[in-house]
Amino acid sequence: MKLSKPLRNEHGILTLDFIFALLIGMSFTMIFFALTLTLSLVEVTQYLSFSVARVSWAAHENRSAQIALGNAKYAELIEKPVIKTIFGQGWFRLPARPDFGDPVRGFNIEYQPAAENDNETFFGARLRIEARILDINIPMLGSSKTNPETGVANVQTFLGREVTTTECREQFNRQRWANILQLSPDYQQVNSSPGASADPNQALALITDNGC
Amino acid sequence: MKSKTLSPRHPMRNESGQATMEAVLIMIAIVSIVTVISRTSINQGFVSNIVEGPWSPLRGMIEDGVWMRHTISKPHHPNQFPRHQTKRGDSI
Repeated sequence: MKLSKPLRNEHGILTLDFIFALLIGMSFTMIFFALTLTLSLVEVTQYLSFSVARVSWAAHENRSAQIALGNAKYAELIEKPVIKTIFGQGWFRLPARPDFGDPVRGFNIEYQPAAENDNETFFGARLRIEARILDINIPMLGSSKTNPETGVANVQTFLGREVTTTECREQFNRQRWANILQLSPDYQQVNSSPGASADPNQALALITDNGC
Repeated sequence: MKSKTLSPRHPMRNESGQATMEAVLIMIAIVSIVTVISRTSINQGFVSNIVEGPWSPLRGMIEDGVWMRHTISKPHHPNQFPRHQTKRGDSI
């Protein structure tokens, strides 16, 4: 064999193999690294959503106050150095504020629990995470993301929520008093003494005794 | 009839440049094959299928805790289970 003939010269074939193998190997490494990192940070986001849902779960004056507490907790958490570092690289995007769904019904409108179960528990916090790291463009093989919804997920925690003081007072105690007044015509005379308001509904100072 | 043979110094017998021509043809063939593979990979979504293929079931698990596509997972969220409080308690 004459090595001097260019077509019989096999020098460099290993280099070509290496370059090709390196391209394929690095591509798959990048993709699986991105996938595993995404799944790991989804767990971190799950912790954030749980903390926010837990804080906004507790009873307060009204639903807005519950949500304000949840927002404050979220703002506190994403400013923590660890969280800020891992989410500040641009690989993942979190919303500026968590989503609490409908002010009255939370996410029950979206989830539509079965009416016969009387079970509206879809109250909580939702964080829409966008994994931009999954958008990888590999030379010659194409892009890993063709659908804008790829890498996007709603990380959410549904804990339900406690009844607020306003709901307890207005939707329970006041309704109960109104129903008591309906029991007898005599009860309609309550608060009809001179100088008092004629409205029997005003005769009662509605208070909540640590809940309904 | 006298056969006509080319003399050794005739230009048609000159092999100089043949290797270059073959190298060019081989390069064209290789580039064509690579282009076809690349185009097929992009059109078939070879790389995107690795990420986008499992993403929807993954999203179903992330959002609703079930291995289902996220478009159909909502009715299977654990909060949908009819759980009731009982006054009877557990039997001892």
